Amino acid sequence: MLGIETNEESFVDKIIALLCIIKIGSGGLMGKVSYSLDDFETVIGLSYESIVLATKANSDYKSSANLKNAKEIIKYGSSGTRGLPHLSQATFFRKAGIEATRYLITGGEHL
Amino acid sequence: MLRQHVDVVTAHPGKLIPYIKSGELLLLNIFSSERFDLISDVPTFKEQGYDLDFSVWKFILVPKGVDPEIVKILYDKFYALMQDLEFTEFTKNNNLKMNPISDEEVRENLINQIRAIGEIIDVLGLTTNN
Repeated sequence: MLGIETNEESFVDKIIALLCIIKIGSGGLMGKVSYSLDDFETVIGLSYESIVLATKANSDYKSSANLKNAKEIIKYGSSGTRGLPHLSQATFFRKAGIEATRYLITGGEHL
Repeated sequence: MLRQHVDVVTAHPGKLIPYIKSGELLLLNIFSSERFDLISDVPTFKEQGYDLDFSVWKFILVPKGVDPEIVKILYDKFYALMQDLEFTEFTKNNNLKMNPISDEEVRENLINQIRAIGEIIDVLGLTTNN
């Protein structure tokens, strides 16, 4: 779907070779990659997507207020500390003063 | 989570919606600053009084030094693409919001995101060894 239209084949090759869609995330901030924003020219924004906090339908926690009043330590799933799923949850629990512990989920499958 | 190992998880709504429809999962709050159409009944954390704003942004970058003329062509092509009905339907059906902001706005947003995430990493005490 993401195509570049032109009649010049060599120009197409050049465009495709130069084009890159990257994610500058927390990995870069933790020294995992050797590039920075200064290594790139920005072109255009495409989209953004939400992330949500979910629980089991039969959970006792039907809202974030319920989580705040939990009598037990909340266990939250995270496949790694560098991703938004971990950062978002850890930040929420910290701001809400909720005692929570991370449960490592391997393979990137959260469900 | 479906195996009862954890109480909560964070994920993209598109991945969770089948489980919401089947009655297995419940969405508590959305981390973005505003609600999304496909899950418009799910309140944001901001609405609950938490200053949180986490979203997954997608944008186009090219290596430094690319001819500005090529950058302009890319901008025009992608902008035109985002007006395409097929593309708008795709984004809508996948819980994405289009965001055709300019190169300067992308850079400003990235700088802000990098700064904000960096502060969070410091506050949480995370390192590459975590």
